Amino acid sequence: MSAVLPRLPSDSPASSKPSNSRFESRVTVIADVTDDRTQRVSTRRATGRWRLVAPWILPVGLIALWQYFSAIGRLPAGILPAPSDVLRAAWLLAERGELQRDVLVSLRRVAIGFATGAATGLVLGFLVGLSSLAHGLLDRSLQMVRTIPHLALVPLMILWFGIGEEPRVLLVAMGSLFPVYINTMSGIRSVDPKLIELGRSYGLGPFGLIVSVVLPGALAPILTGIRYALGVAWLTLVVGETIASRDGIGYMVQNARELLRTDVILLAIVLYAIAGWLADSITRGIERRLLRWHPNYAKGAAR
Amino acid sequence: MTHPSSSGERLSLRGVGKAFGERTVLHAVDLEIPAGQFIALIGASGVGKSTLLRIVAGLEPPTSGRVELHSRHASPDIRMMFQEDRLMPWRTVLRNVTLGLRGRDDEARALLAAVGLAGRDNDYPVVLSGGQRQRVGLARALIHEPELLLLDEPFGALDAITRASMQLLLEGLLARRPRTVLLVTHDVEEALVLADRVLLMREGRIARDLFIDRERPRHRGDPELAALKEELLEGLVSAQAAQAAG
Repeated sequence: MSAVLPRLPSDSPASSKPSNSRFESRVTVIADVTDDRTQRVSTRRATGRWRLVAPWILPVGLIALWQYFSAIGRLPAGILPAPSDVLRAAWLLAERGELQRDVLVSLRRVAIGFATGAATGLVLGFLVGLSSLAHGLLDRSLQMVRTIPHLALVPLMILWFGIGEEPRVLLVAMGSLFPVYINTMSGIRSVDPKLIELGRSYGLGPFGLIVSVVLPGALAPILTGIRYALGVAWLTLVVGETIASRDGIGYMVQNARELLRTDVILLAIVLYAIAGWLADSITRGIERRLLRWHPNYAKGAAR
Repeated sequence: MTHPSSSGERLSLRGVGKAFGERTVLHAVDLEIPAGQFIALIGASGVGKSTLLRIVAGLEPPTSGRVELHSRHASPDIRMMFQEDRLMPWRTVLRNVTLGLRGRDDEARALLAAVGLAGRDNDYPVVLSGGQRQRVGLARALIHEPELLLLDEPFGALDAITRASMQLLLEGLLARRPRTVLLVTHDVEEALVLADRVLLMREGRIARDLFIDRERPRHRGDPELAALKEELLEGLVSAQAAQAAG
């Protein structure tokens, strides 16, 4: 390989001669990509593969260890059942149709609650962000309500609505409302006034300004709020479903606790994790698509 | 010197004054700008150049006086370029040019080509250099065929080479299609190379009104322009010294 190295100026016979030590300078190679292009390509390919594999090494390794210690009996099944037991539980529940039913019920609750809360947050955020009248009227009150931990309302909700669907869905809605509201409102208020001035002087009306300047300018914080709200929505559902429910993932957990089925409890945790991860990746995909103009989201930018 | 075929609109300012609270920024400015004239407003920072421009643009109301644009159109188009490009980062180059317009893509493409950005239609502003962004801004202003073009130090933030090429571009575009232009600048040379008339502002008043009667294209090395530049710079520096003393 070294025989075909391209000749660098420093390889020239003149400089390879022993030179006067007073003029000899030390060479520090800061960058050198003069040789062998194929090597670079294959490194790049290898880094691409590495990037795909790297995030999985730790979780897969941990699960393997967990399975191993369960198999040799160091982890009692009553405390922490083996991954294979959790899988088997999932299989059994799925065969009876309970798994699908409970997951769908929970998904439905999150979807309705989140949609209601996020939509309300968006509308309020736009109203307060755009109009100083609405800001004066509403912002202080909303900020005060926001400081109440919404889970503290659980007993009140049960008193008001009983143990039906309403309290759960309403709790999820309340949890998702404020992150969306805060981010929408402050996102709109922080849109560059110079761009708004420009839009106005280029003949955009109020509607045009909102669609072409304000909304895209506030989109990044709005999406951040939505992502955060999704997380809160799932969290709220976990709590909401532990109170006197007859279905849903939370019910599955409660039921399993009474029957000492740790494998089902673990399964529920895994289900929550998958749901949260799915919701987050969907919103991140939307983010990447809608914000491709944004320097932070431009292709190649690490997120 | 006036442009070969004068177009654009006549602008007149009568006693235009502006005060922010106690501080008076403009003292009853009177100014007549004939159609098609290229005016450069120079002066130290804070003498009211940009305020005057913003009042003419209708972005700020004057405290006193009257601004009239004599136009054949009912609602004449006034377009302004700023020192910052003010491009919408979420719009492609093409969509920035067609901001507020519908179905004028071909025109926009032609203008982009005229400012040297052919084929960059679908790029986002993030990937453009400062000079390229100002070119988009220029195309965005020109697609409206403005009767009055207001330039608030549009090349101020650019490096010397880019600035010179932008000046040439602007001069070329205006030679093809003359308009009434009001340019605010810190750069005396820029004013002398581009303008038909240079107004030196001092403490909210027009202190000098100078007609530049040289053939175009002008050369920076022109001895007469160099002498004028010296003179104007002296005026600017003494004004600043007076301001500092006062």
